[in-house]
Amino acid sequence: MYRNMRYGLIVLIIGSLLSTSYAQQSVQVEIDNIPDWVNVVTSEIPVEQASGSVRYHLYNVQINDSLEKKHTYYQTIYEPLNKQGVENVSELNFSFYPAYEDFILHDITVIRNGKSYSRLDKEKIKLFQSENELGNKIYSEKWNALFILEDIRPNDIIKYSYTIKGHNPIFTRHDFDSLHLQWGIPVDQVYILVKAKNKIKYQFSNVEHSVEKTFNKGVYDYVIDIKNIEAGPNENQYPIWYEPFNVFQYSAFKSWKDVNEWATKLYDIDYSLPDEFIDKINNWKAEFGKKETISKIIEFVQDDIRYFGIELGVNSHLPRTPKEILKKRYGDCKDKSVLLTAMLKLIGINAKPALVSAKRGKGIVDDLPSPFSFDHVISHFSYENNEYWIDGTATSQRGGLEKRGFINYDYSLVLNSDEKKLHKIQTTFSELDAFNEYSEESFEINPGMNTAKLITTSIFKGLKAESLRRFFSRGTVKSINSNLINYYSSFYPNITRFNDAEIKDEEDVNQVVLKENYDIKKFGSLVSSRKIFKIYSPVVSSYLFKPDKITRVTPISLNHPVKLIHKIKASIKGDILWNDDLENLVIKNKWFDFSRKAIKIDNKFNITLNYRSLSDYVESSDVSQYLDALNEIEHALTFSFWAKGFKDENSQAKKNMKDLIKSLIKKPKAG
Amino acid sequence: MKYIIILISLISLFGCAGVQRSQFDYTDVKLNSIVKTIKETPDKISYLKFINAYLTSSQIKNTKFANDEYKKIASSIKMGTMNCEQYDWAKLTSLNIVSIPAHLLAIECFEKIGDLKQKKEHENLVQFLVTGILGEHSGDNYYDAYEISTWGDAEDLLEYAGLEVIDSYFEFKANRSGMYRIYITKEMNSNVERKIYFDNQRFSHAFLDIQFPFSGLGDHMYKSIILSLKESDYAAQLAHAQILHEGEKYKEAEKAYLAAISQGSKKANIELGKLCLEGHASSFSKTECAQLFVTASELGLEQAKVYLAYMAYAGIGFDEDKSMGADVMNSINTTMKPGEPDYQIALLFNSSKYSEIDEKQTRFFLDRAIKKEYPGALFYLLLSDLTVEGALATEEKQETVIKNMTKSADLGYIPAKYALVKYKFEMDEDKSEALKLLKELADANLPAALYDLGKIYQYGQYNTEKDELKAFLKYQQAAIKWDADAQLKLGFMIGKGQVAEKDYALSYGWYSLCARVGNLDCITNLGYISASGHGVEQDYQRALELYQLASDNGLSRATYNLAILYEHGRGVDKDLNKALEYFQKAAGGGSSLAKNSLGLFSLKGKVEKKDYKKALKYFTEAASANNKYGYYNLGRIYQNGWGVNVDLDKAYEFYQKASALGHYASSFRLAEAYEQGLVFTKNNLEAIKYYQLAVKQGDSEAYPKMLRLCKIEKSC
Repeated sequence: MYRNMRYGLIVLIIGSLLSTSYAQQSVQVEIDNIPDWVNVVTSEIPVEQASGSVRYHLYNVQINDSLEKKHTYYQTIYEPLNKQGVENVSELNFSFYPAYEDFILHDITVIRNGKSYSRLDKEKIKLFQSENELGNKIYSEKWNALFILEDIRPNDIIKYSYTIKGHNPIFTRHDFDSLHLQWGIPVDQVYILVKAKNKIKYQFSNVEHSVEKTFNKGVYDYVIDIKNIEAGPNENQYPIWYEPFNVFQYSAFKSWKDVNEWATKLYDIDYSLPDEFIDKINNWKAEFGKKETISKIIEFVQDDIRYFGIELGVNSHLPRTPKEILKKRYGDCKDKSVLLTAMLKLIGINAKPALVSAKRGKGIVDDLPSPFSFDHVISHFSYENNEYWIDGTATSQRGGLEKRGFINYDYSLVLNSDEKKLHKIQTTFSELDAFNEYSEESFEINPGMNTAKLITTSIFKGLKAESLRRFFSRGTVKSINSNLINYYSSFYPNITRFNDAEIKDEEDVNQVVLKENYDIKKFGSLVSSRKIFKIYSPVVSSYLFKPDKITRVTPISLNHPVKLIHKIKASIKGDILWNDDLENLVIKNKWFDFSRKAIKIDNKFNITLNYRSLSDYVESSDVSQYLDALNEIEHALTFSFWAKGFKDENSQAKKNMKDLIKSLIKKPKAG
Repeated sequence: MKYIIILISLISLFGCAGVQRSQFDYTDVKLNSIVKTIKETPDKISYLKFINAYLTSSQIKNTKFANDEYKKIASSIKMGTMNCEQYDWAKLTSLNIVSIPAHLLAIECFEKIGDLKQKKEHENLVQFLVTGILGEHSGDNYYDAYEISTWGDAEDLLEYAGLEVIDSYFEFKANRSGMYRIYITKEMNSNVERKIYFDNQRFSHAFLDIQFPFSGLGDHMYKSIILSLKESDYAAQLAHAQILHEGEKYKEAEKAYLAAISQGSKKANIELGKLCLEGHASSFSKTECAQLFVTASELGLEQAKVYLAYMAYAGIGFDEDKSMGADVMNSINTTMKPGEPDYQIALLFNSSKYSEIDEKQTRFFLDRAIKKEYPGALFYLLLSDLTVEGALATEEKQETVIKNMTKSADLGYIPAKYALVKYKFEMDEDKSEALKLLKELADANLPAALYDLGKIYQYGQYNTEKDELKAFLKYQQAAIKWDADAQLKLGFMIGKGQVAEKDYALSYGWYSLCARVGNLDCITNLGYISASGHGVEQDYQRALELYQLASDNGLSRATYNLAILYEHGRGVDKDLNKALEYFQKAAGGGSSLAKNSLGLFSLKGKVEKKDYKKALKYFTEAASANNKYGYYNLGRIYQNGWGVNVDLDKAYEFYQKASALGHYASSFRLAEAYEQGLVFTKNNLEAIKYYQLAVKQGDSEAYPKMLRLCKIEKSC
């Protein structure tokens, strides 16, 4: 993987601690002076009172891209304002990749009552390998250097600086980067210097600032010096493509074509396959034909090649050869894309790797051209006049090419092509990119006993079928049933299963059919001695998104695309005394299209709900209207009725009624 | 004089000059000018003047839009998406000037902005509106309800008064001519419950473009208001259910009750419970009725427990269980007044609606209620005791009745107070105390008291100065509170042009209103208007139907009118036998006119052969009831010697009596007698006097004769 975006001082300062660390001989921390090329920034400590637990005075990043290797100098000055602040900032945590980066610490100083005290002590630096990415099945050889600041008190001013020398050698050039200029907290001053041999293009994501440009001795200097940077929005649940903070992006790449050329070279490897494998593919083709063989190849790459990435140096961007992948039977996204290319080539399909961003989706469309935009590779090919975008890391995809779920990364850089722009990713098959679910719930309700029998049949297609297939493949019968009943128990607390769920995986059409059977006790709620029954649509509800924070400046991310049909049948053994309006409801807005049709025939209700998402986000200015729409649909998802058992005058009914009166008498007098 | 009266009438009655409202143009000019004055000097404008201007403005048609707009702005200000400076407050508040929340929001904003002048103006308006609505009323009864425009206004007022609405329902009056809304309220953190009556009938009439208060004639309160509100307003749904219930459409009523319950009506549980107890519920057995009362009780309506206790005591739905009945009664909390549950259960035992009448239980619970000094029970007992023969036979018994009446009245029970007033008028030699009490009740807007006071003014009774204008206004006040007698009076006075300008259409409207509640005089008068064609198209057929209806219900006047139609073949084939039959029936009911007609039938031998003796008997009977025609005909009998010896002295004595009662032919005969010197000594001046009287009484022939004599005598 490419190195993650630099989240700046917050990540650096408030990093999570790992339990054990082993400093290895080969990995070292150097202590040295600040490099000469670094501009000295004099930060004036403002006298005004600050709120919060820590006040950040300076964030100073200076990048020297004019040298053979990239050198990045960091300086941070901050001040804990109270005990909480002290706790938050007393640990300094630095990350680097020893395989190609050197970590040089210059300074750790504490200023107390106007006097400076150096705390720099090499012995106190703990080095350990990062385990964060292992959890994501990525072996990256990232290391952390931890320094614990002792005896820190409120209003101490902490200063530290360090330089990372080096960059991933896979980049033939390194004059591109992306730097945050804003965080969730205010900062008194941000200073950025970029030194480059070539002119760079740059842009700001949200707010423009002035950039001072100079040229001296063949080096271009770009300086940004901004004061009193307000906190950005402390919000979440915004779409992946949205950047809430101001970011400075620069690149010396002239076009996407240049980036393409760089990346294409990385994929210029040996695509040959082992002989036995060639035979296997040829046999498939002979037996199943070309189209089905494409599916078989995809399925093989996705499911038979275990996903595991080694992000060591060049491996972060350089794929391995198909032979090596097949030998080891594992690979990351690059490897899987290369293998797919090789295998498909054998049957005459010209597949190409395509770079995408899994983290930012369509957010890369306005980026400056640079390798920085991408963190993932998929494969692209055309067949019978249709374009296909295959993610080799996806699993559990089944069915023919027209049935497989389509994971939409929105924009891609297709390698080995002449495209000057990013390519818009689309699928010819409209159903494939949606979470597609058809569900039928059938209730037999006995109001007299206040029980219900619930039988459900759900048909999941495309991406949703694949997601369930993965879920079912991981679980045992017991755990699956337990999960399914847990889902319903949040709506009907007294639910029990009377049969195990029946799961039918119709792989040929990439469809999973799930049948469930339940008994529900205390189905209706007793509202002032009346049994009120509520039928709710968890199917639609589970895709609706309600933000935690309503007053906001960032857009809200929505589940999209989603297509749902939910049919509910309820048969009531008794008298329906009242029910919600049976009128057909239609709710249509920018975000979704919903309809409810309800009919009543004798003692039976048939309700059909249709939901189709229309957008993946809500503008912050539309939140209020969106919440109204959400309330409206939530209301429409609940169908209530009041029912009782059939007219009853037997002795038990009489006794029940007397008991009811007695219980009323026993309640304490309100007056 | 009449012109002035009509002006007053227009102001107070929202224009009683016709049943159509076409004279209103819904312009806002007048209202805007009044509002401007209120903002600056609120004391200069009467609330009545303001509300009349409001009700003729375009604003009444836009209340929903105004409310939506207010909500939108209020929400924007609350959310902070709009600030006070950004909105045109004059525009918002003048969308519906009576909407208090909009003024309050404006006040809040003007305070924030620091515009104290505009703040004060809106404060003046709020003060004016609240005082106008609440000022002269108690809200304790329909006839003293607070008058508002929309129900939203009522709810806003209750909220500002710190009252929580527990439930709400509609109450109809006068066969759905009148409609009131009752809110059962509770003070926050208190157990004191209060029923508050609101009245928006003038607003509703204005909104529906119908002359107030005649919407009932087209059943518009139900058809145009309740039916259109019922899907969104549980109280309207409940009213709809109750109307279906009364109309014995039980299945539909049950459905509507259930809908009202689901919409949030608590009282609907009790009403459905009643339908269930009647055995008319299709989904509930009698046993299950209890569930509905339990629900109502759980929702806070303690009254429901009375029904549960009744079921237990009377063994309805399950076996009799007196102990449980007693427990239920004991569990009723203090939201009901002491003795009220006992009184209500007594009424249930005294009704055959759900079970056979149980006099013993009735008496038992009445006594319990009386012990707890529940005034309604005292009065009820007093009334039921009065129905027993010899109830007032001894002085001691009379004293007991008076004592109980006085006690009930002292406890504030209005019917008892009114009964006491009536008693005092009957019994006291000095009526001043009775008059004082009657005025108090009239001041409290009790319709019957207003009517009685109107009568006192009309006839100048009990040393009160006769004042027809005051009488008219009191009748008017009572009439708009659905007092049928007052409506009859108004119909009559307006029809005759008495005090107010003659207006047959309006007269017809008032008669129609009181006819809707079965007032036989009103029905007969409607028949009379149809027969005479005054203000309406002459329609004998309709007259016949109306007379027949009133006659069948025992009104002799109607029977007499019916006989006349048969006699002359109007609206029906001429049938003298039938006419005779109806005259006899009316005469039997005491109609002196009918007796006179029977005399004429005998005199002329219209059905049977001539019978002067019979004629003399009938005319004598009619005359003895002070009937002018009876006197006149007796005069004719003695003048002509039909079955008697000619006796001119006697004859002219009868003519004089008839003349004095307004009979012009008698006056004419007396004039002729004086002119010609028959019976009396010739006296032209006396003759002129009687001719003049005859003219005044409607005899056109007397006029030239009078002129000729005047010329001779040169004295007219």
